Amino acid sequence: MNFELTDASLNTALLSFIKILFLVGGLLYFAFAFIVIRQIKVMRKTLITALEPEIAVLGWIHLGLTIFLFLYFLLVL
Amino acid sequence: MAHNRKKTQRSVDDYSEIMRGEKPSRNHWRAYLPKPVKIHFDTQASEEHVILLLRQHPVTLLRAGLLIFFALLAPLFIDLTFFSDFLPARYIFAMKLSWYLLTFSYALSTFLTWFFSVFIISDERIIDVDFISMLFKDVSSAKIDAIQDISSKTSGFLASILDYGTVHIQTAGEERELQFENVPHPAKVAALLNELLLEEEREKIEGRVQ
Repeated sequence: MNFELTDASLNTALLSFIKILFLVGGLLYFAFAFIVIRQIKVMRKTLITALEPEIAVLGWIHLGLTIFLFLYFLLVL
Repeated sequence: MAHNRKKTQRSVDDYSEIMRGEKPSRNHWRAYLPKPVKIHFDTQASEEHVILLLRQHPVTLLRAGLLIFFALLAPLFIDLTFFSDFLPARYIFAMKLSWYLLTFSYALSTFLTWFFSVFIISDERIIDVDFISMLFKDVSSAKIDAIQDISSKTSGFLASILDYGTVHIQTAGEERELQFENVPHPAKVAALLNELLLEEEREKIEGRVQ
């Protein structure tokens, strides 16, 4: 077998490495978004206001955006 | 037993001149909520009423607001950096998306920390709920009759113009000092606490606390 280290193969390797970095970052961010949801629940239990649904929605939007971002990294990069 | 005591409850308007002049608050976004309607806290007793709920003055969010504003503008200049020389456009776009989401996360956590970090004055206690970040929660409280000294401090140009400052409360309890930081109308808050303290003493003298 003959491996030739061309500019193109180097470029592909570098881009694959960057994609892996994006995916790892995306996964960590996804975990953070879950913590935010959990923490919002703790906050809503501590102080009960009429704005609970709106604040819960903000947390879910945040989680939805992190899922979208992870899928973008996975499918488009 | 302190928590089992029953007393002939008087409405806050009966003994507080400060609260008599305030209308019940229905808008929960505000930083100064006298007699808030439909607001409760987790350790609230069944006969306990929230008299005043405070958050830090919205102007304290100004620095975070400016940071978010500049963070939103930053991706417009990303083409000037060295990344665009060797990364394909879709990677640059992914970086911009990540940046905007990070900015959104920062804005969300700043807002949540501000919204849920509250100072509560009830007819029984004062409670300081601090969410230092999204991950750290610190709750301290003291009974009204444990208050020994109350002072308010307004310092700085902006604080004087917008009437916000810090209320220092010395107590005899385990938590020696409670601070309501950067709250609106600190002098009014200190005056209200004095009225509550007087009412507690009056209750003891008149034997309304059993």
